[in-house]
Amino acid sequence: MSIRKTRIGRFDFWTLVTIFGYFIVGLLLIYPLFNIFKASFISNETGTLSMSNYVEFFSKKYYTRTILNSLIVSFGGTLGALLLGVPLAFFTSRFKIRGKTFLSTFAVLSLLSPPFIGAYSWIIMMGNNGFLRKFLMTFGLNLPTIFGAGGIILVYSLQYYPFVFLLTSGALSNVDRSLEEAAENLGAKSTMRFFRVTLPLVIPSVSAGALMAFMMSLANFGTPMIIGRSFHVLPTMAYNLYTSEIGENPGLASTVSILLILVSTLIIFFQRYASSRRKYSSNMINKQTVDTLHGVKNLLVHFISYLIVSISTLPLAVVVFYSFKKTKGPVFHPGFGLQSYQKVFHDVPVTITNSLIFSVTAVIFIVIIGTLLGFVMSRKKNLPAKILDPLLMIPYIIPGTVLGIGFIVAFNNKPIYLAGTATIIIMSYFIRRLPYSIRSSASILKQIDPSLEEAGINLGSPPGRTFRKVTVPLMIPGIVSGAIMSWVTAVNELSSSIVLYVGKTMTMPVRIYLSVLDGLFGTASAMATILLVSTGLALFIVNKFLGVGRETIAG
Amino acid sequence: MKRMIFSVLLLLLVSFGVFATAAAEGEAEAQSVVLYSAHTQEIIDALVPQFEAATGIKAEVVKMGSSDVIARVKAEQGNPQCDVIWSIGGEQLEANSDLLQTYEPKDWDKVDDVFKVGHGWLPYTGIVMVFVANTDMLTEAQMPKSWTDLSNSGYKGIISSARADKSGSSYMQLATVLNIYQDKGWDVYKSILQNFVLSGSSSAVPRFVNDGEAAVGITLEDNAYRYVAGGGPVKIIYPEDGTTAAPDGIALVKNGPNSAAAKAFIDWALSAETQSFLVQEMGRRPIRSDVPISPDLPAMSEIKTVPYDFAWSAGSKKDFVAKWTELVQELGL
Amino acid sequence: MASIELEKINKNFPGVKALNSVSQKIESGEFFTLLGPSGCGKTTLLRTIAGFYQQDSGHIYLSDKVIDNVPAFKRDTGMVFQSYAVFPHMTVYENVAFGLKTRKVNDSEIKERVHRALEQVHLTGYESRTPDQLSGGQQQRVGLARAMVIEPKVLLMDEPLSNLDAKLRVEMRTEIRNMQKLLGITTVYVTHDQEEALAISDKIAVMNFGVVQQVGTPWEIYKEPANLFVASFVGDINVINGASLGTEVGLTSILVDKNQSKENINIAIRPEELSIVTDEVSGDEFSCIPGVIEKSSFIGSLIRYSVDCGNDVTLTVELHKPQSEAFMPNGTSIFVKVPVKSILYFHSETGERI
Repeated sequence: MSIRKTRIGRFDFWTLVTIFGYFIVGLLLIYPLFNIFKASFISNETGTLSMSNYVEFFSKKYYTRTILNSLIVSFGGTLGALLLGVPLAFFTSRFKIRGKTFLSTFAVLSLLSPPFIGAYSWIIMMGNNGFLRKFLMTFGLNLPTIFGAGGIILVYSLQYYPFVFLLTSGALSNVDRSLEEAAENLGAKSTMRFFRVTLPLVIPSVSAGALMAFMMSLANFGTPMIIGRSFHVLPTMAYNLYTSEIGENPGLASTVSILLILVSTLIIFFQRYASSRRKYSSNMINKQTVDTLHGVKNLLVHFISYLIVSISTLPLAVVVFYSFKKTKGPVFHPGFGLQSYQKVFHDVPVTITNSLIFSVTAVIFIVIIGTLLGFVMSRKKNLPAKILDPLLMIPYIIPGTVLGIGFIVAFNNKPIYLAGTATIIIMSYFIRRLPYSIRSSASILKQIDPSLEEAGINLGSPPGRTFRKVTVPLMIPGIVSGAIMSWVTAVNELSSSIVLYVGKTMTMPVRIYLSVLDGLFGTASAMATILLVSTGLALFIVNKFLGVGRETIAG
Repeated sequence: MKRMIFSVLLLLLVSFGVFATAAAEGEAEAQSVVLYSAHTQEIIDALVPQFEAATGIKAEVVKMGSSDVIARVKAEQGNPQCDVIWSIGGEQLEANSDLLQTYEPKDWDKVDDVFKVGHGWLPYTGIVMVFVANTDMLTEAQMPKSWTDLSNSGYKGIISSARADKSGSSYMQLATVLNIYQDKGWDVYKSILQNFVLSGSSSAVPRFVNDGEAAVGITLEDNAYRYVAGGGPVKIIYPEDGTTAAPDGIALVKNGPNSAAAKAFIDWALSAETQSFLVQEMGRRPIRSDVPISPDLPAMSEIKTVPYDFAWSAGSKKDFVAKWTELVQELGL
Repeated sequence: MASIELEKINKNFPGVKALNSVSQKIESGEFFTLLGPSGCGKTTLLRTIAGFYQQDSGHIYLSDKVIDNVPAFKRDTGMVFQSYAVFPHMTVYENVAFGLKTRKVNDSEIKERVHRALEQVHLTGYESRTPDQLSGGQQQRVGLARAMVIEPKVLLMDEPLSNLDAKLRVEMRTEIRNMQKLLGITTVYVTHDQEEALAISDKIAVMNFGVVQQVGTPWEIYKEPANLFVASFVGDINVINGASLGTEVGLTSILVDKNQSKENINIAIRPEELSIVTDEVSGDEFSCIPGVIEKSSFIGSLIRYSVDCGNDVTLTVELHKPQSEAFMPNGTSIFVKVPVKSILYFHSETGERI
């Protein structure tokens, strides 16, 4: 037995899983991204390697402006999400609020609806002729329309504040009460206590929530497409360029994609750097108590909490309401009717079946592979696993549109022809949602004593069998919550499937988006309601029976 | 060890097996036809069930803007996925007749000769470019009467139009202005363009006008008509300085996978029943001489039209769209 | 039944040399304890034997067969964990039967052996309980039964008692020792508790910084420590540098005997060997060091005095079976009586016994 051989370490089941992880990263991330990267350096005119696309991009204000626009709406949306999420989290975790469960369920629900539907609802409410805007005008309140940067920021704020809310309230309930009592004991008033003690302690969680909101805003495609009008952002520009470059080298679209990835990467590094210096460990001794407020304060706290949640749920209410409005042709009439549902009756069975098959298939793979990889990430401390970990988080920074373009470029050439197949959509769902599952598996594994697995192995059970018999049964809650989160977000996925779909692979969000684009809001609302009810139901079941979800959303 | 390698290999195989079966799904069906269409979803929803009931053939529709349809068919040239291009602008088909397969449908003799203008493609319905105006927002006097009226600065930001690089009908509107005003064409168009709010699809244009998000829209007659028929506060205006009346097209894709079913679809689409349905329910104009025009719409003789040269508009498309893009960038739309 | 032989085992973790050329033979049927402070490498060594770590170099033999490349699940060792590691989703019966099922033992035999194992750990009747219905001590008994029921070649125990309260710990260690004797199974036991190690072991290896400092019977380890680390880790001991000594006749003459300069020698003596006298006695067998009682604490079976002897030397003296008159107030001037034979000498730089 040579020494060299023992040094390599044993080749076991987990080695194979790690290799498989690299295979996935290579095939579904590196290869498509490399293709985009390559395409961005190929001149559309001459077909040779050149910087012409970058020159084209940076020489026109029309294009460069989109970088600034993207940053404006993403920062704006993030700021808005913070302003809504932090107070809501503080109020609901520190004060007794009636209907708290109801509030948080609705807050999360608005997170899980297809965002572009909300955008169209806002046109109905706050467009030139929006009913809410006209209503407010009768009070002399002349608000600007929803179109353009301001509207996008509003929609993002309302769409993504739940990230901030969930993460912050989680952190707030983990702040040791003694610390606040100590501050009080040292003479700090309540506002000072909040800003000098409580807030700094939860900053890491707040900033993680803000990062989620930022990345989502930066990658959002549907909302600026619908209410941006002449206000273009990077994802819409990439998509517009991509559709006009179909069949040719998507040079400019790839260039925009690369720049988009660059911006998200920079932001993520910045956040990592900023929050690495602020890490607090707390050994909880005194749990937080919930105060009951009285009088005006109580009213105010209730009012603000309910106002935030109602405004964010308003677009969904509008969607449901309009789906039941009476229509004649494309025109809404007073009264209620089921015409919109009748119109989609022929189409919905196919698209919803597609959505279900694609998302469930993807989730099955996500669960199996995500659980295995989650195990490798949290239990194996070797170098290959450490390198794989950040690689598998790449999907967090790749906007769906970019990934879709990458897939088309990569998988419509020798040796793999997948354009127009269900496979390519399932693969995109798979890779985009895999990090959710890996994260939730890894986080539940932190709560499982590794000795249990060692005991199994020690008793003669091989690693794979031990994983099945011992670890998996204990991971079930984490696996299920990860699976549901992956499913809910996959079933609502638009930005990559809009690039990848063909007629027979049309999904619900794509179908809804196309209807919205055609101005057929009645049928779009009917389908969105169907989608919303099914995802809402799934979420409700999970909340009810497992009481999980927060960790996985938090990532 | 062996078992482990085996199980991982199995996992790999199963993953791609399932991917593949999911992909193969649908291909197994016996009679089906793949249609790429720029029709509105509403028309697709209404017509596809009728076609399936009449022929027993399953139709799969990919709905896209007309430029996307062409681009996609071009991209798939090596391995065609589409059988029939259904309802896109004639000049797009004219410019790409090499992608198409000539076909003489049943009842070809019933088709009005004025519509027999294409090469490699067939006329589907008659289309007229119109303005649509919101009757709550504008008085009769405030409504634009001609293309040049649209350049009035009072309309800034309240004219809805689709993007000419995405929508075939929007391109046809551009070509119409250039056709009418010839040398001054671009100047006129630019002054109109600066008042536009652009959208991705021309089908949405009457929706914005109907909802009061825009006061005026430029769109296809049938799109606008459905809002009129639905009782919306909209009025159709035929420009006094002339407009284009041209067929949109239907065409067989060369080497499409289901050529028999494709021909059956075209025959069905041009049948008297389908044409009268399009006329009555969708506000389209028939291409058949034996199908009467809708009583709600003015006769062609009442509308001022200018002759539209498909070969010219198709041949100039690349240049015109490039110029259009430049203008859009210049105006910051 | 099997012997274990470790041959020049090295194991590094980033920045730490966890095991430094460890060689040791553990005889068949021996109760062998790895004792040392946390981070000394004792758990690493145990886990390397179990196969959870792969040594960087060196070889492990089990019954004279090399097992370097045998994966953990094929090593046939039974391990008992500090955190019990009782599967929370299985009943007591299922936990104990787990290893037998992986070995494809037939059902009736599984039943019989599980019952026998549970009987041995006094858990008969608990078969269908789940771990959350058991106390810590009971859970550890399940862990023990689960490890023993597979009749492993060796039993590995990683601080199995450290999560239990003091009284239960003493009780359990006696049981473990009895059971091990009864079954005659080779056992490697890891602990940081020197009292536990002394009480339970046939042999003890004291480890520090990844190096085995000394191997011996509990008696040898305590009475004849190989170096100052072992002497001070196992039990309390007073250490005085030779240079701090005055002109005490007996001590200084011994130092001269050892052929070393005073500075090079540390002398060490266990507190229980010392006694306190009011009048100086002298002779070949004793030496007296004058001092003042600094503080005293009474802890039941003994009184512990701290005596300030000047020159920064403080000696701890333990007086067993204290009588009331032995209680001396702080500040009393006395002599510490040192029996010369009990003194241990260590090199002050290397720490090695002289």
